[in-house]
Amino acid sequence: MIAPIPWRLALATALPLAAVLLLSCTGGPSVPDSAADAGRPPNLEPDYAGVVVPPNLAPLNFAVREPGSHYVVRLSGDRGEPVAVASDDGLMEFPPGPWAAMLEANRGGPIHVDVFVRGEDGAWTQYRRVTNTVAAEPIDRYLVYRLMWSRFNTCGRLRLIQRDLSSFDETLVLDNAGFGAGCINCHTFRQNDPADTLIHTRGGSGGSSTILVRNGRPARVNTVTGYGLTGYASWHPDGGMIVCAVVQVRPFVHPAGDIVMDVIDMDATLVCYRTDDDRMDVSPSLSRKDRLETYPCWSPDGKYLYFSSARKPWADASAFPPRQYAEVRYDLVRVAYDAATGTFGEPETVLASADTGISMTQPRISPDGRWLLFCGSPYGCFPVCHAAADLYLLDLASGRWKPVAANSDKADSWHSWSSNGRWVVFSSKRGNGLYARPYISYVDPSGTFHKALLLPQRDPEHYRSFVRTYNVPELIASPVPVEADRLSRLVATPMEAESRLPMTSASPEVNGGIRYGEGRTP
Amino acid sequence: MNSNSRPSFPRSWIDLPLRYVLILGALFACMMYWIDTALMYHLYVIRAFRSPWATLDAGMLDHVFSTVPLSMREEPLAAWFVRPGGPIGLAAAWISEYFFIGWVGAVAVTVATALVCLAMGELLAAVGRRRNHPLVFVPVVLVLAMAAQYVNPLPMALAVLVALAAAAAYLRLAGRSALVSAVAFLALSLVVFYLAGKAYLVLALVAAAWELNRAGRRVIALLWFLAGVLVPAAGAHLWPEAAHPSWVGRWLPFLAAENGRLTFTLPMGQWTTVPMAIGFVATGLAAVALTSWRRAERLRPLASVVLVLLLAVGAFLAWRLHNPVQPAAARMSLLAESGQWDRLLDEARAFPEPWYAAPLRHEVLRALYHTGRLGDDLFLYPQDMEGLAFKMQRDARKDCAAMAWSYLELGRLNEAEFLAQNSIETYDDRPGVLKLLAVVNVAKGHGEGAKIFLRRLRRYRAYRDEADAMLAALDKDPLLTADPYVTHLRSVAFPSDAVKAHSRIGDRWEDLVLANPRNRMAVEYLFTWWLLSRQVPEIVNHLSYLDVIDRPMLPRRWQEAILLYHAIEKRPVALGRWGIGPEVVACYTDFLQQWEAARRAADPEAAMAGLTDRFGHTYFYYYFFGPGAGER
Repeated sequence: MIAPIPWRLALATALPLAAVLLLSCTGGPSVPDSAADAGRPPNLEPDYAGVVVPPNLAPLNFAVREPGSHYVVRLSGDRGEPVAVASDDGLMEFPPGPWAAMLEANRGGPIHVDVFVRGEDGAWTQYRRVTNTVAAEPIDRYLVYRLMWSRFNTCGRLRLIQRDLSSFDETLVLDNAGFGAGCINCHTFRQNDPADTLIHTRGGSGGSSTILVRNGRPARVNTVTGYGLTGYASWHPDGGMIVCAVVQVRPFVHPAGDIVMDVIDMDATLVCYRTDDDRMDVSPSLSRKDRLETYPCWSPDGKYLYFSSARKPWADASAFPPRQYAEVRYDLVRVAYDAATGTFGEPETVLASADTGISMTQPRISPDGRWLLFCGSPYGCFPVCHAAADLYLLDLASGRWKPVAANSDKADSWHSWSSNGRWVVFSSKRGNGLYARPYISYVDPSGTFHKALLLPQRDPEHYRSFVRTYNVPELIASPVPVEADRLSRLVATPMEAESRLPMTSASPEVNGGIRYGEGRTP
Repeated sequence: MNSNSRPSFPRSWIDLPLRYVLILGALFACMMYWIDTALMYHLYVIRAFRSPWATLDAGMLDHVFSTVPLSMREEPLAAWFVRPGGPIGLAAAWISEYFFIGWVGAVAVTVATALVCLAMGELLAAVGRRRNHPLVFVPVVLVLAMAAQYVNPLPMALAVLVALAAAAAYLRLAGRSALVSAVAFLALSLVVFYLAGKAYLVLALVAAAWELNRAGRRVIALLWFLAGVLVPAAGAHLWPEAAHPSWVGRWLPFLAAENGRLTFTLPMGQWTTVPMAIGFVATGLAAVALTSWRRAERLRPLASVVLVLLLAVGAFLAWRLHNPVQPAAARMSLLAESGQWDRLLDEARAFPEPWYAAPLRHEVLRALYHTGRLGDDLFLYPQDMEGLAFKMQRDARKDCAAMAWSYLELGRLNEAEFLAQNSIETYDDRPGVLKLLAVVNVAKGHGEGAKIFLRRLRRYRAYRDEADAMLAALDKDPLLTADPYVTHLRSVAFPSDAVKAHSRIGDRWEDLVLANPRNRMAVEYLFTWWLLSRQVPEIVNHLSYLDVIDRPMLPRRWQEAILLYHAIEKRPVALGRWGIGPEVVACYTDFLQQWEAARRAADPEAAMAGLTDRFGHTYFYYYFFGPGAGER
């Protein structure tokens, strides 16, 4: 028999609970009546000062890096209720509900951040007000990225993660632990819509695979060519075709200098996968033997395929790294596409590296077709290795190009447009120089990039000791419609299949020798 | 149920029999002085949780991961509470965090085991037996057997404790009626499965055995037995966050899904689950035996003897399972980390040769260099070319941490960083490698890069003070200009970014020497490479590199190499300021004579063994008989 709970015990438990509940309903901490003026803005980490915030973004939690024993931060806007939080360690975490209400109420307007710090002597100091702006246009709600170790030489643990940007929730899209520690390569969505998704994996228990999600239904398809395994990809807007790069990627180590591991494509070409009839083909315009072609990107109207293309300066791959590796600079090239006949036109150079002096890779076109955002680096096709890598914006109407204002002195690369064209997410190694983090920048109609803000985390100190890199962040409007387990099972199930595109004497020897199912980690 | 079988509550928990004190005291002594939980902690730190996720089904992670101290794991606290077994796993991981303090670990394991013994006693009392029956000490043996293999026994002990306690409670309640039995079992099942995960099987087995033998309710016994499988299956569906395609493997011991198939799995070493298996099976069988005890009263004396024998066999098993290699490797790693090179070399002398893996051989070479004994005592330890050199890409999956430290001190900072990152990719972010990466980045002038590794390092409680000290120093001086070690690293840093398409292995040291002739470590490693690869002419032709060596005589093994060259090539050698000592010449003459004698001996094998004993530490012996000699 269960003994009755003594009433004193019940009371002793209930009273403190009631006190806590009461305190939590009083609207947060009060702001000090008087405080000395610090005469300068506070040091905030991450640097959330003067940024443009998506109206549907999770709270910008931050740490106040000022000496003190107690901290109060008040957020206020022209409309709605202010929000105040307090802490003893300077780590400020805003309640999601009031935060969201504040952003919603102040769409298109400013929100002010007032920081008060109490010193050891009990005196309060107020720092100069920081003002951020809430954009009118929302950002796509989900961000998909790979979480991986820094160098990515031996693959290691790798997960494809989906973050709900309106909260701090992360869900798993694919984990390489589920298929024998293979490599999760590229994830590609058709115009920010995950109903049509392509995911490549290499190695692992089920062999290399291509997972095609079409209208929300996943299937494992065979996209292996005689040239090798497919990689970077781009969906045609009508969903009927995906152009993929097949690259022979090889890493090497620099004995000195800032670049530790470098990566070059010894050969590269583009191939087409027709999703409607599960067919692969190749066009001479996309596969020239003397060129390295990679990073395909369709224009939103589907009339042009843009990609990066460089002259291949080495005749064979016996010497590695080839002595000309630092001379390889990619042009931006496009070919016209006739959807009616399914044929490509002749390549035309959009921007020549000889003119720009940089290697131009990772072209991504804004949804309205006006802007082409690409990555420029001193040489090669792997800008994430180069601290000098920056993002550049090409006005497709005028042909003018310029570096974007959101660049840093460290590698900025792997960018993705939101479906409304007002936001760009990219990976940047700013701060620590080693691990890439996702940054969000507002792009106004004139093509001006505003100060980028670091993807917020619940723990304001998350990034300080997080030794993994956020790679290839891609914005999508809705969650990936397939559960991680199902994707994992598809990848883990071996599939016997023959190469779809046999190599000919005219074919580039991109990845010769690798058979289906063997794979290789770049 | 008659009144005779009603359980009696203990008179006092303080009234423990002497045997408790003796046996658990022995366990504490073993944990403290034989096993040493500090070594167990560092074994996890340096190697143990090597990619368990890569080969094992997530279902095994509860077992494997909960043996890993809390700070080494990345998941948030909430993640522990959304999966069966999580709460106990969390408790075990939190306590294991302090295992680096040896006595804390010994106390924790001993107390947990004592509680398991008491729970066993309570189980016995519930069926009307003595609480201090020898059976209660079976867990001591199991715990010791696990610990002897340097597998943290705490998670299992805590989980089994919960299951046994629940089983004892069940036995007390189940005699009342079938309805009470069913309600009690279901309630306890939920609690135990949530708290302790797989250890739930203990409860199911005990309850089924009791129902079968004591209560005679066969249908219920069958149901409870099946529950051992069905509850975990239901759990897999109720906890979608923790669900995995192969739920059978997820919730049952010893099964894992590998490559889409269920396989029998022995996590963390080949004998790890044997004690667990013994534990599970023994508990179930013992419960069966005990519940039918009444019918077999005359076998009671015999059973006691069997139990005592079981304890003895278990203790013997624990002793046999003890692997001296792992703690020795852990000790050597710790000594290298703290720069106690002489002690490391002492430890290495006793290390069993078959286990001398390449990274360990490399660590020994590094210790020899730092003690100034590289050219003299090289062959006191097993040597081959692989210990010094390895191919960057081919060996990327090996544990490259020791080699990364060498590269750092040699001045090849980028290669050091590359290897350290490889090590992290393969073995996760162990503190030694985090420290290395911090130092590399400091040496390269990347203070902010260094800080991220130090902040990560401070999550390991055992390294927190060290990381904090370095962070504070970096805050004061981001370049650590006053630090002599960092200054030295910068002085030897390789200056050229010229990437070679074709390079010989020796270039990795010779390029350093050519760039900086004062780089003594590069010179010694280069000459060691030439020794190990038997490139004696290179040694003779590059004696000018030795100007940096600040000693009156050449190291002994280099003298032997030069003498060997002279003897084989019959050419004079321009020794410059160096000479060959008469003792070296005498040793060579003696070696040749003994070798010749061995060839003519009646028992050549014994004679060759004598040659090994006498000349195994010389270059003469290595040159003709060492690894790779047959290829010449």
